[in-house]
Amino acid sequence: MIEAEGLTKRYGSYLGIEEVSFKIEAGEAVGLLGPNGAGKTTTLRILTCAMSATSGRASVAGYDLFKESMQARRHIGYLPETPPLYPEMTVAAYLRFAASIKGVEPRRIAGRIDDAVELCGLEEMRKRVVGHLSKGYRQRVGIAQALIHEPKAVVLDEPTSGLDPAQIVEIRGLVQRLGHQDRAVLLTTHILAEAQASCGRLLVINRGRIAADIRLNAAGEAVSIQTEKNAPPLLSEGSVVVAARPFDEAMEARLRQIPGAVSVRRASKESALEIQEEEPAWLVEAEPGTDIRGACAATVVEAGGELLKLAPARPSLERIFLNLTQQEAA
Amino acid sequence: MRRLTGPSLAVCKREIYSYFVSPVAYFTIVPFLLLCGFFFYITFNYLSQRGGSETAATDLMVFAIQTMSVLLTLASPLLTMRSFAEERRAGSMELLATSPIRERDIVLGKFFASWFLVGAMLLATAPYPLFVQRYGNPDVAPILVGYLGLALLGGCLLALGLLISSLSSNQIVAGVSTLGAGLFLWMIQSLPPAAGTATLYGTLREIAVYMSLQQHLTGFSQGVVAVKSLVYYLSFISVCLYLTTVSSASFRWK
Repeated sequence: MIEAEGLTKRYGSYLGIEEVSFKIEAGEAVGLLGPNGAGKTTTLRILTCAMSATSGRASVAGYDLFKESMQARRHIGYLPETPPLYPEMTVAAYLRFAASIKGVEPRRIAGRIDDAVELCGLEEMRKRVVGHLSKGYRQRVGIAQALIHEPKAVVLDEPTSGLDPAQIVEIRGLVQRLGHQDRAVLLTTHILAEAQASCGRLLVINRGRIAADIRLNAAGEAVSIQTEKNAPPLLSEGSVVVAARPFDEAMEARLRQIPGAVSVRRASKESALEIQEEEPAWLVEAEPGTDIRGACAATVVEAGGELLKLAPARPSLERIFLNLTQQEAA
Repeated sequence: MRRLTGPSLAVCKREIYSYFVSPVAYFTIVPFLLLCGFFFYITFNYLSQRGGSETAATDLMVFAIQTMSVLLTLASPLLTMRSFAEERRAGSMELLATSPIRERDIVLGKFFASWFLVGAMLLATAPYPLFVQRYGNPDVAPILVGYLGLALLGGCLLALGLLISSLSSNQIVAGVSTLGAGLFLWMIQSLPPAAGTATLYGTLREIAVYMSLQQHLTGFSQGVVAVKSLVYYLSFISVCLYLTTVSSASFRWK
């Protein structure tokens, strides 16, 4: 639904984004995640025709953004970081205006306003003046505007920034309701938890480049990671971290003999995508589908050692994100 | 040539809505009418004290139309200064820029909205000619043609104001620059004539005088529609609106 291919944007000599490529299918909700200044807004503004790219190509719903801009724009709903509101208008008048400039047929406008108002929880606010609304409600009006023409691609720039915690929860819920089988949702955020809550896939952007493409399961855990360079494979499910005394070669050799243990290595602090442990520990990778926890505990105890820690080894997304974005900066 | 299509009509309606919901419309129309009334009264008083000549009623209206042209110069920046500058500052320009609407339609929508307001202002001065008609015997043609000239002159000032607003994201800067440009285009008609005939100054002065918006109004206020004036006004509007379109679109390419 949304395709970017080698998008590059230069502001004079300053590089905004470089060779950004990705493909988002209908039904997907994707978070574009990155530190401030990484190029998130630049990418979104190009994808919504608010700005041109220096090179590369992009399309939405099959329409080239640069050659068939008018058709493409009919299928894009965009919420910029500051909602594009007219403070002097009422909510209903504003949505009516948004619908008419987005090419909604006049006879369908009233129905579309009803739908958007209902979805965004704005029933009580229809007649209120936009400028008098709270920030959370203004954000909802901004989202309603982005949905009014039933776009195939919805693009939201930092939908929860600047809101209080209660409002954040509300807007997050609203964003989750946007997902639709023939709609692609792309949102930016610099908050990982937010992306995990709303998205099934994360694109990590750092210094203008896509650093990783991460797929999440329903619980918000990474199930696959693709990075620019070929990334170390993720630890298989069932892998554990074991800390024991004595922390020596002999103990390591014993752990290696556990049936189902694919590899045993010392958890390092350097590895980009792996666990980092404060105290010395082993990382025991399990053959997929085997449970080696009991065997690990037994091995340590039988060898006369003390078991200090036995924990599932799953690199936190936060760690992955920080590693991806900090390593390059260093 | 110019036609308001769906989306630009929507922009136009929204602009008019905003003029009246925000106090801009009232802050522009009310002082304009008060000042018009004031100057009309002074002129009327002056002409009636001088003793009613045959042409007094016609003179009164000629003078009133000239005065209104200056008042329009002062009032029109208030209508156009926000148009692009404020939308850009507030971020609502992003809505227009990402909607399936052409730059040209945005500009036309805004232009016709402000022109509509100027039309309403001029219409609101109708009591003056009606008053003169009631108590005097002015020529009707100069009044009607004069109003046409005023509407065209207003269109020029608005198109210029839109262009200046599209270059800035600060409405105050846009407003003051528009006022300055408007006053300049009024004043240059008063350059003193050249001493000789074929001097460089003489040529430049002639060009400058031709550029003056008010200079062309003189003909209209006497009931004459000069082709060169009509052409000047219409091309002035077209060029300004075209440049506004270019300037507005250029923000995309930055």
